[in-house]
Amino acid sequence: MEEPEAILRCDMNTDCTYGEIWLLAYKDRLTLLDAETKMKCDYEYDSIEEFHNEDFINTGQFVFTRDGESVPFAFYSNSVGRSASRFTMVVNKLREKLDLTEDDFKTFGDDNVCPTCGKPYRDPRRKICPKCMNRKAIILRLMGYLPKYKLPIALMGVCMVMTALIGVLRPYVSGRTFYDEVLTEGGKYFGMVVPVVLCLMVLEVSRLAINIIKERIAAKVSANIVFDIKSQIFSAMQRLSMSFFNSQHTGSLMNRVNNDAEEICFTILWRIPELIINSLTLIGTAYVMIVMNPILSIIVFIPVPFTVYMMKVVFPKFRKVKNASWQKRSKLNSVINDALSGIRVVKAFGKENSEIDRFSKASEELYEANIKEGIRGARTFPVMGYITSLGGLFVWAVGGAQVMNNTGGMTFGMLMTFVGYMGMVLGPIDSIVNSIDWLTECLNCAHRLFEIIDRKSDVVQSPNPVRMEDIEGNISLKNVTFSYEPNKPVLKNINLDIKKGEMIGLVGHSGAGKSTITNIITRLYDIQEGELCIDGVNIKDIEHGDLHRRIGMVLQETHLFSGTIMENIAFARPDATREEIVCAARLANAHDFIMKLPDGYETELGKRSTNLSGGERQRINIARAILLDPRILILDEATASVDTETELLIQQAIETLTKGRTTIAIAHRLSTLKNADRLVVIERGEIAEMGTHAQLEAAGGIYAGMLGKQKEALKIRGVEDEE
Amino acid sequence: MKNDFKDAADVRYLTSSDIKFYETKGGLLGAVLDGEDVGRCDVLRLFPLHQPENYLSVRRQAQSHRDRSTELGIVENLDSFSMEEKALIRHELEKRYFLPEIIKVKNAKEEFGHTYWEVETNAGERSFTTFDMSSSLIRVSSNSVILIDVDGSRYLIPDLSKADDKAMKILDIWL
Repeated sequence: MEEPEAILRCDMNTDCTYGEIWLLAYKDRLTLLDAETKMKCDYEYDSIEEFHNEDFINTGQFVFTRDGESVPFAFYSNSVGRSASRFTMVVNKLREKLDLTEDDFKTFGDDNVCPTCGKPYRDPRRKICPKCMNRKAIILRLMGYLPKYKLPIALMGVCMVMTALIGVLRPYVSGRTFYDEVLTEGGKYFGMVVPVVLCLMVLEVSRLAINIIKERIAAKVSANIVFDIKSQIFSAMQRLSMSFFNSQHTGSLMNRVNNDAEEICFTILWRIPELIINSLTLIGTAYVMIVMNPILSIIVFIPVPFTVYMMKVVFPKFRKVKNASWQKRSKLNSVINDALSGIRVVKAFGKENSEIDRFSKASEELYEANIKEGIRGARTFPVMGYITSLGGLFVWAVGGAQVMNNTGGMTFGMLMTFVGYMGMVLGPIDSIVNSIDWLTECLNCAHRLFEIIDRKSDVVQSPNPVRMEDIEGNISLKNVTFSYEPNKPVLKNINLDIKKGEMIGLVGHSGAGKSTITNIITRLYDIQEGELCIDGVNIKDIEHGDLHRRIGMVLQETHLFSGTIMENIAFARPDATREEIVCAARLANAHDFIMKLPDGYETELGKRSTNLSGGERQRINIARAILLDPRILILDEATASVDTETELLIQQAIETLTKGRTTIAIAHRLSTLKNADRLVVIERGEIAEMGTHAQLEAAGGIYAGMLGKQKEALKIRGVEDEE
Repeated sequence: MKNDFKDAADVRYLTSSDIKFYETKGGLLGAVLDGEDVGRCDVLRLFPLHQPENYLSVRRQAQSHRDRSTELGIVENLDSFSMEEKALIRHELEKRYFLPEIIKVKNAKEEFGHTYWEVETNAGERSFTTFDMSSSLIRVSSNSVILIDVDGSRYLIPDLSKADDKAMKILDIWL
């Protein structure tokens, strides 16, 4: 029987109900199978003129064109969406009789559900099932951070055992020994009140001392481990390619580095030791109690099920109330934040009163949530305390009776010891029960971190990179195709040869793919098809450092790092001398405004007093690029967000900069590109036109149209282009 | 003076005297505008949550799937159209804005910050996962919400007062 090349399970019927439809792509045809009605349809590729999928809000559909007529023929929900575009690509490849590669099947089929338990992944991009993740492996790997600190951790272990021992011993001495042996006539230590009290004091003091030692060690080790984890993560993140950062929220990344590392460390060094001490104490007390009086021991443990019930059932409810008031608080905060950061808008539109109303409403909600929390708390905690003390009364009653009747060898001292132990049983149980929650949370954190650490960059340096001490600046793109997401090519079949020293202007509508071209030339992303060479060497083979040492970029978003102006200019070349920095700043037309600042080149950026304008920041960026002395220079909308006068200054600076360098400039304001040797018009990912300004204007194509529109726009505003 | 900007925006409102809808041979929505057959059309809601049958943007389908679609005009309401046309438009809208209503929550389990739902909807049974409730809820009215799962699929809870306890337990703090 013929095997299909690809199979897709669609989860919807054409009448918008959930169902099960299978699509099978064979070498020559597409087959549709309906699992319910057992209907089977074949569609020969030869009879199909076009095949694509359309995504809606919640669903999508496959559509083919036959005899010029579009025909929808299968529906799917968003869960299938990702695979659907893949499937379209595979079918279209089969239709064109192209060979399928392994890449075509990368995100294909039922890969959004965990293969072990069949549940959908919580995050389809992160194929981890929290249920089925290998906990043991993560724990072992976490423990891998410890051996470095063998000695202190061993010391901590000794301290923990001693703490637990003293914990068990103390109630015994203060109860059994003190009442039965010291205060009772005929006791072993009758009358030796002072020595026994002293002994108790020594126990207390040594427990305190041991605790201090343990905490000191733990504090030191934990700081070290947090440091280890954080630096490992941060360097792992820096290594990753741009596509990783685009798919991740920056905020959640920072959270990962900070919170997760601390959470893990807190767990390893505080909670786990706490758990060990508690377990040891529990075992110790239980042992001593059972040996002394088994019946009374059972009574001591009677409140335990209640406590567990309270913690498992009642407390989560209380947590929800707490959570709710936390939600309201953050809502209130965002209202305040909104109103204050947008105060200019609020005042300009005279909307102060409605903002006050919005605040009052949020504030009221918080007030109500707080009251609810208070009432719930007032109900929960006293009940909890009551149950514990109720258990105590039982011990008093039964134990007291046993002492009075002198059954089971019960003495007053033993009763006192039991009372002491009772308080020690519930605490450890509480912590053991809760341990499951925090342990899971910790494993989750650890998993997230390991995920980053283990993640491979999409852009990898070849094992035998070509060293290029100097780059001349010849760039050639041959049949380059690139897409950020599968099946949605942003660049298609680009062929472009740029000679060294040439200035190329990239022109086109927003989203045409201009910036993408610069992204692949700087190798922020790797192309999927075709070849991209610099000075005849494939970009994938060039040593990373060599490539980036000679590529300078000035972008529209002017990012300055915290630090001084000097450090910012020297960002790409920290070894630059002061003279070089000043020269670069002069060439960038930045020197004069820097000199107006009280601290000159040593002005700290990011301080309140230094509010640089957009144009000033941009000139610092240009100085940064000049200092690098790049062979290839990329200007992506470098002057888009500045006023005309500043633009002139920046233009001058750029002219200095572009001399003798291969320059690729992107600009919407076409006049910016008048110095370009060649203009390349990009339209929907393809090169539509190429030539000089005069040639393209004469040709009357897309460029001429854009030029006309801009002139028109300037006329409407009453400004004539100076050309 | 007051409506100057309205004139400037130059919105074309369409009624049955301007546009006729028909079913293409492939079973899709087509239209004839001012007597000219424009072929396949899309109908989009301007206010999908609250005005399901009013303010519909009628757009000519992009010629190739890379092309952008162009708006032919806005249909304010369906009153003037024939029964067949209404049915066609409604079918098209239903397809595009498919939103299953949750009839019964069979199981909703919260685990590790994620909620695993097993529900019965008016379109059949379904299980899905939601993550980060604060960003997966759209409040439609004081009494109904839309849940968005990890794949971006949406599910409507039409009446919170009748929703199952299992669901409310989870949703309570977010509402």
